Amino acid sequence: MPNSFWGLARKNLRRNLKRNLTTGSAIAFGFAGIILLGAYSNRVDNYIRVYTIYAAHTGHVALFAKNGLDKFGFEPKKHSFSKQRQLEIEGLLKNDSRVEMFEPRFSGVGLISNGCKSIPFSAVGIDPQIEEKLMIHPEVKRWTPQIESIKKGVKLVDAVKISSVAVVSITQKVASALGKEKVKTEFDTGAAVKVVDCESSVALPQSDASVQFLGNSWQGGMAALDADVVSIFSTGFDETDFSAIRMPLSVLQSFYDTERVAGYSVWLKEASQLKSFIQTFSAALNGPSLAPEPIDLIPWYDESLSPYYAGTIQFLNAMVGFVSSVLALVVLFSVLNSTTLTVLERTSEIGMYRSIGFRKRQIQTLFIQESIWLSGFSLGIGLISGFVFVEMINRMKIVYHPPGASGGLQLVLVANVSAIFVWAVVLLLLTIWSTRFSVVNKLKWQISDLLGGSGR
Amino acid sequence: MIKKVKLLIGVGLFVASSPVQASPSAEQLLKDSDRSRGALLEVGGMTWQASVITLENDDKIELGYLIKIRDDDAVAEVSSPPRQKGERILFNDRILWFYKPGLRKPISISPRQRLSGQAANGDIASTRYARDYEGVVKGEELVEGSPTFVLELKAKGKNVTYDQIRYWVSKQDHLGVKAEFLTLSGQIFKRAWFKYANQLTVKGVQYPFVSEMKIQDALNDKNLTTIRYFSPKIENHPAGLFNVNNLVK
Repeated sequence: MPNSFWGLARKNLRRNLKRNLTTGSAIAFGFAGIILLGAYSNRVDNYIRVYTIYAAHTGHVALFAKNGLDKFGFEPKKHSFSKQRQLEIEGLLKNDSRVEMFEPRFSGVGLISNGCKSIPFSAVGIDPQIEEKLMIHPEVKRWTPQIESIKKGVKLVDAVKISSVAVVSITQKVASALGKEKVKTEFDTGAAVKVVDCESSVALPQSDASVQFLGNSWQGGMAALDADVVSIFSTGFDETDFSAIRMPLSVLQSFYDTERVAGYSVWLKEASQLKSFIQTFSAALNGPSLAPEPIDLIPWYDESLSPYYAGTIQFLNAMVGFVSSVLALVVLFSVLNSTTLTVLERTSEIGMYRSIGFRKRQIQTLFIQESIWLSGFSLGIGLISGFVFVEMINRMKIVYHPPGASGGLQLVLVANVSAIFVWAVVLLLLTIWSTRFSVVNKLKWQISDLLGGSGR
Repeated sequence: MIKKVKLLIGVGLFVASSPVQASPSAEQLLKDSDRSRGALLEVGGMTWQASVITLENDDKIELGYLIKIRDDDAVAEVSSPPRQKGERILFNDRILWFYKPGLRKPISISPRQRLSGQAANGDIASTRYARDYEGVVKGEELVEGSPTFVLELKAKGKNVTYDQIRYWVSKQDHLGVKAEFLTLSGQIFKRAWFKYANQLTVKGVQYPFVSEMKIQDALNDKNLTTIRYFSPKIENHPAGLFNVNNLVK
């Protein structure tokens, strides 16, 4: 008597085609649903991850003076790095083979004015060279291609080469509030900058790309800066778009009259080295050869550093976990229900197998092989359907508006192959288990009961 | 005991024999107190120096200003430290402009904006509470042992330094001695105390003139800014000095 019944199992499946099609559909569509959900979760997770690390200049690790993340805004002098400390840190970062690149962090607040109207700004100083590298980074190209380019104008890295005046990138909302929606390249370069007559009926703020910044200098007194708007960008979020400004780091430092920086953003060649980097670099920074200034190294996913990422992913994981579990349970109960009924209907058949010499284990194997055929075929159909749905949705270019995000975001699904494999194995095992569960109970019966069907 | 009774009777008779004086109006009190804080309307022009010393977060910052006044206009020019020399704040009535060397044009600023530490731009030049605020005398109190009128001031317009002020004006010489600056909702956010050790003679009459304004953060006592006023004098200035278009030249 053979121990493998693949051929017989396939024939048995055909005999109960209607019921098996129903069971197979539950598995296939459940699997397709899980693929779609996983593809959405995969894309959102990676989009926000790459946005946080690269587009928001957070880096894989952020390095601050002790408590600098919380207190730099209130006591900037106390919680920032001196020029000497910057040289020490930069020396260590340059010599660390794990580091891909790094950028000093510096930010500040104040008022931006068009000559008549002022609104608050929150400026981030960036290194235009690093910005350029970040925007062409393979991770950015792959996961967030739409935020690679600025909305209008020229990049800061190009603008600084040609402008004698400080250059700045502002958001669309700031531009609209100040009437500065045209960037410098849209005006005659020779046009003189005039004091705006705010009482005049002519809307003069729109006559040039000039804006002015006002704040408080780190040395006391007021800080002021003339700049030209060279580009319009978006932070991706409504809340920050109302006041966000980007300008070269050196310009922002000069505005506040300081050489100090708040910290560093560090990008690693391999994200997997994050934990070991934090451990070893922290020891090196606080080592005996350097100034005894305690330093905080914060991983990019830390809630204090990236609250949007942490909050969104926690919510997403909870939602995807719940929906996937419901889908898996639906599949499980469908299969369990179907196999229980099938086994019940085939009680006499099991009795016949037993009477002609089939052992219990062989009958169990036969049913499990039927189950593997069914679930394997259904998972295959589900896999194809899932990928077809993913492709269809991507081609439909559906734009949706997540809460808090500025502008629309195209719904793009990216299937996660490893997650699909895991789910396929889980569903297969669930199917096998539910079949075995139904058959094993039936096999405990006497042959006479099975043949007579008296146990029904 | 008899001596005390005699003293009480004596005081009572003195008070009773004094001529009855009506309380001055809030407007009059503000006009009088403004005079000693730079609003000498009859002289046309004035000059003084000020140093703004800020103690904040264990940091000390000191700035020197030369202030020139002509009617409703004023210019405050930074005289120290050297790296900030040439920075100017122009007050065209209630419109303020800031200019520093290197700027292509002056920047329009608000009198409420922080000048340094607790001091707002509007604190450095002459004070025109009588013009800018609606005042009501709310009562009388002793401030450091001296009797004062307590005034409540509400801003007449938006372009003023503070929304509401509680202002203590001495009964004896009508000088503003203490102030509490309030938000629109009535919360105190700054307190100030004034001293008048300077003297200014106008048409033969000597007036006390403000020598110190100490401004303290209501939420953090350690954050303190002191404005000291030196060498006040009557001086005429050309109108062109107060023209925004001349700031850049």
